[in-house]
Amino acid sequence: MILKDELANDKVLMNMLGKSMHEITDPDFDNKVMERISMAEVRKFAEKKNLRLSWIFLIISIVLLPVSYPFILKAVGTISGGIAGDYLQNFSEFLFPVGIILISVIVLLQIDNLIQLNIRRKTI
Amino acid sequence: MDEQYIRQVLDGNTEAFRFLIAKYKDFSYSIAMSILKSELQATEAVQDAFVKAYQNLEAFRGKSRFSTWLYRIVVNESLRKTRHKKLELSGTLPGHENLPDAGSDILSSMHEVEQKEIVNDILQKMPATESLLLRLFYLEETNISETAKIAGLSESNVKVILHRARKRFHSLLVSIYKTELKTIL
Repeated sequence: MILKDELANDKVLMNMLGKSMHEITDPDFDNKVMERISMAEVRKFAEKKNLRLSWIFLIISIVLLPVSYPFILKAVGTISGGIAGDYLQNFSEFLFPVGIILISVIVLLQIDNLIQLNIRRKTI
Repeated sequence: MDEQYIRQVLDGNTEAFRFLIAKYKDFSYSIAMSILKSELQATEAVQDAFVKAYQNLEAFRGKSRFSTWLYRIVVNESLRKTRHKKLELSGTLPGHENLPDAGSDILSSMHEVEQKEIVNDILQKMPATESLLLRLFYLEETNISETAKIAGLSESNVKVILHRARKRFHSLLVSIYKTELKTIL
C-alpha cells in the first residue's frame, strides 16, 4: 500500500495526529491561571461595588437636587441681595432655568454612562 | 464528571476550577498553537481563555459539552491575538508528483519523539484553519458538527477545509521525507 493511500485512511491520520498534542511545559501554569482568576474576581467585586455606589449617589442627587435647588438659589439671592441689590436678584431668576437645564443634562449623561457600563459588564 | 466540578465552582468553590484547567489545558494549548504558531502567545491565549471561561461559567447552559464551549473561547482568544499580529499562513499547496514508493510508512520508521516533532512541524507550516481542524477532528475526535461549532464555520466548510488539509498534510509529509532522505544520502 503506498503512502498516499495510507494517508487517505482516517485511522492512519488519526494515529499520526495523535502525536501532535502540545503540552504546556510551564509547571506553574495552573497556579498562574488561578491567580489571575482571583485577581479578576477582586476587580469584578470592586467594579460591582463602585457601580452600585454610583447608582445610589445618582438617585440621591436626582431626588435632592430639584428639592434643594430653589432653596439654594433663594439663599444665594438673600445673601447677595443685600450687597448688590436688584441686579443680583434678577440674575438669580435668570439662573434658575439655566441651572435646571444644566443639572438635567448632567444627570441624563450620568444615567447614560451607567447604563452603558452595566451593558458592557454583562457582555464581557 | 465536568458538570460536578462546574457546579462546585458555581457554588463558590473556586479551587474546583483547577480540575478543569488540568484536564483541558494541553488540548487548549494545541488549539492555540494551531492558530498562533507561537508558544508564548498560545500560552497567553489559553490563560485568557480559562479566565474568561471562569468569569462566564454561569452562561454555560450545558447544551453542548463543556470542552466544546471552552475550545470555542480558546479559538476566539487566539483569533483576537492574531488580529494584533497577523500570523495567518498563506502557504501554497506543494505538488503531489513523484511520491516516493519506498516510503510506504514514513513515520513508523522514525523514533516516537522524532515523529511528534515532524507532525508538529507540518502542522506549524499549515494554515491556521487547516491545522486547527485536523487537530480537532483527529486528535480530539470531535464530530463535524462540534468541529464546526468550535471553529465558527459551517459544516460544509469544515468538510471542504478538512479535505484540503489532509492533502496538504500529506504533501508536506512527503516533502519533509524527501528532504530528510537527501540529507541522509
